Amino acid sequence: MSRVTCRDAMGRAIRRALLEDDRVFLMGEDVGRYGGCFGVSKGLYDEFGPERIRDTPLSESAFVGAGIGAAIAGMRPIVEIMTCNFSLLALDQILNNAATLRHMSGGQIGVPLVIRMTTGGGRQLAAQHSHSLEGWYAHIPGLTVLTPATVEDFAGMLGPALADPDPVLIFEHGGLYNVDAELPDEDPAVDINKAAVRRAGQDISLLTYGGSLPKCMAAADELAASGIEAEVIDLRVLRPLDDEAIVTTVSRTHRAVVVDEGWRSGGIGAEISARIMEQAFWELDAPVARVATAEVPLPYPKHLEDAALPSVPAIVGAAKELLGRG
Amino acid sequence: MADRTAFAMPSLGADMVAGTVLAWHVQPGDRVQPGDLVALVDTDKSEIEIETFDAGIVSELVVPEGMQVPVGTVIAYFDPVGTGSPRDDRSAVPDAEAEPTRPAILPDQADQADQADAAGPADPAGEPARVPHHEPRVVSPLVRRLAEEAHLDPERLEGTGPGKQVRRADIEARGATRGATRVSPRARRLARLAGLDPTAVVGTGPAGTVTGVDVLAHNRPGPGQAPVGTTTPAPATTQPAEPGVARAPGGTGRRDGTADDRSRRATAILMERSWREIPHYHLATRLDVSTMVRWLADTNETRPIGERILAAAVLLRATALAAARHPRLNGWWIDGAFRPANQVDLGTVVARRGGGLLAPTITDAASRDLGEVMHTLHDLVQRVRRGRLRGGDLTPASITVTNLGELGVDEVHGVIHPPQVALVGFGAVHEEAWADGGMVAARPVLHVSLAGDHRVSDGLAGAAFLTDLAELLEHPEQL
Amino acid sequence: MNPTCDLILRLLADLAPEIDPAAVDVELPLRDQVDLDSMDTLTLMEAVAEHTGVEVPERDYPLVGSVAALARYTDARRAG
Repeated sequence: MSRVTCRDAMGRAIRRALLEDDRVFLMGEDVGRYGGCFGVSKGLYDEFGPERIRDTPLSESAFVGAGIGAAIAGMRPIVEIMTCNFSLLALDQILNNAATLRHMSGGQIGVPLVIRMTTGGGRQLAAQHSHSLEGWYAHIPGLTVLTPATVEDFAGMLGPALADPDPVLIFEHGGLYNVDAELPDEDPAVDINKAAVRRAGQDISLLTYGGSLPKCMAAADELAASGIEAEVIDLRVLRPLDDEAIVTTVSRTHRAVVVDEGWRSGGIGAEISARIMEQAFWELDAPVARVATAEVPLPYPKHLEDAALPSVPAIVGAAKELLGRG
Repeated sequence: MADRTAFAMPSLGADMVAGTVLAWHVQPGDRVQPGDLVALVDTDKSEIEIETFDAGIVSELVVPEGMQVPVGTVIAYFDPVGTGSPRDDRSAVPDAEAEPTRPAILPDQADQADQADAAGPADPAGEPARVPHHEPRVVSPLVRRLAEEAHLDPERLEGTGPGKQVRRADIEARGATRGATRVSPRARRLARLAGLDPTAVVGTGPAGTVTGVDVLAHNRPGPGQAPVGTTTPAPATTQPAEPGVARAPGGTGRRDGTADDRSRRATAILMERSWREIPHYHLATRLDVSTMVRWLADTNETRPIGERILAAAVLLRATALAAARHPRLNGWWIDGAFRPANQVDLGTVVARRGGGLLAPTITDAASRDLGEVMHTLHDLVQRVRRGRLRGGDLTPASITVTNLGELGVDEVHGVIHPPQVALVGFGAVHEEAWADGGMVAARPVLHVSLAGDHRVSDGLAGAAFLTDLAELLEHPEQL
Repeated sequence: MNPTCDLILRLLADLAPEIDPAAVDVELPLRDQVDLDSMDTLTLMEAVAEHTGVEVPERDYPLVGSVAALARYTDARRAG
């Protein structure tokens, strides 16, 4: 047991994967000598060398494509894209190749590739480095989309992701890298098919994932001080969504707020809201509420960025409004 | 009379010569707008909803449901809107029945029409209409829609606009006090299952929305029951408890305690001996059982009815495990010495129908899993109630559990069944104020007590037992 | 009387032979009239499920406090 940050938990998971399976290698911009733009792969280059920790040119399309090729050829690549904003340069590779090849080849060709990327705002990196695009990728059949939000999940999601015979995208919220918690020395067993109840409650459900989880936990504390017991669901996997967990919590609390750092229109929050309507309409005591990012390119100035992103007061306010306690 | 609009059976196809009114969608007194569906008509080819192209207030349904009439026959009359009450018009046309193509109205329908008219506009016959101008009042489409949504008639409102015209603010002002009741989807579903009109329920949600909990509260029998989901969800009786017994014999006409004197006498002898011989000590503690309550609700939600678990079984299972860890509480005092039992034979107390108590035993309860304990308990209760106990059911118990929760009792200070040396008592699960981390919250709370034989154990051992029991109950999923 | 009410009264009498079904007011809360604990309630719900196919979940117990309410509930669920 030791105190570990999300950054180190992911680094440890990559190291463990490299040690356990020599088909695994890490590839991306500055992942080698520099140790990763966010420091996740620090030390790995020295330990495993340039064959397995590969620095790439600044061409997302090229190195994601190379990862797809390597995966088809039997390797188990981990490709790091600095932020999901730049993943759009590789969107053709991800959507038209990685996600579709199993289908197009009649099951003959699989792409066992893991792509890691940072997502999310809140660090004054402005509009080209701060967006949350995991909801877009969750739209694509053929992909699994993971969003770790706890140290345990940062440590434990990579293993099962690499074991998946199809492409898995891991969206790591940049604001979580410095969050720390106690972590056992052995690998935590993480089920990447299920959402997790992070806090139990019976009055209202806060459905969230990734960087918004700490905000929802703080909001739940604040609500508890007003006598409202919120249940916090960490969705953990955005594709495929854990419908059962969503229906279960809504059936218990009868009210739901979906908290999502993507933009509101067409976001994953809209999808979750629709599923609640489809599968748990008759359990609802109030319309589903959404707390999402304002529909603007994320601003650089701190006060404007804070105003654009989901906030604890906004979550508390939405919850209280559904309960008529606004 | 001249203003009255005749509504005739329309031609719904070149070859249609007659139609049958299957059902009226309007009643006398109803307002109709162009485009409103007025009746369902059978043309011999198909059933067709027919609509009106005129506005007005339905004054008469001339053709009763089920009657076939030729195309062109007047089947209803509409009065114009805003020119006085329909009653006035009716009295002005005493010769209406003389119209040639008009079939005779059925007497009971005429009565209905009269009643509807009488209950409709407030103006008594002969008095000037409330609306000062005789031309139809101008009501904007927006106001008309808002009025409909709020179940208001804009023709009968005093407006604040020019010429007392009704404006949006007038509707909104009235709507705020009279507005349509909002009922949540869940409340609608629950109300349908309960056969209730959800709009008759007092809503406590935002803007008075009727929510699920309001329907449940409306339907809940009597006051004093704890909120849903926090108590054993059974219609428990609330008669006074007898000390030392788990469940008083009850039911209408058999509450006088005389139903089974022999059984009563046996209990009396046993309890007298216990109180005389055993130096009791009593310990009690309060447990926050939110986890157990939620776990039970979740577990039972997903199980078929035959596999549901009752709280009683969870308590028995936890007690059995705790007793196995504390041998000084599990055994017998015989001939001046303690004899520990080598397994937990758990005594339960079950009331017989018709009076009296039996204390059947779940043998070796610590080695049965929760499902098995529930199953055994279920069978045991059935056998007691049907008076068909088996020999094995009366194995001498090594420790007994009494559960007064069903009676609504909070806490039990029990009397040990000799020669046993301990008795565990459970009260009802009630919501109580629970302080935790500097905050007070309402939590489902269970009072647990232990009666111990001071010749065999002491408060220290008893406290350790209760601590273990509490811990077991905090993790029902592991039981 | 509603046939489902009849059925429930028969099941009740089978469960608790001392009950006179004729003396039970089907509209009044059952708990005020007969002595049923949680095990009896479960047994009654099992019998209702066996005869009608309708399993009453625990969270709906507050809706079915009287014989008539239970019958309405059962009928509503059977009707879909």
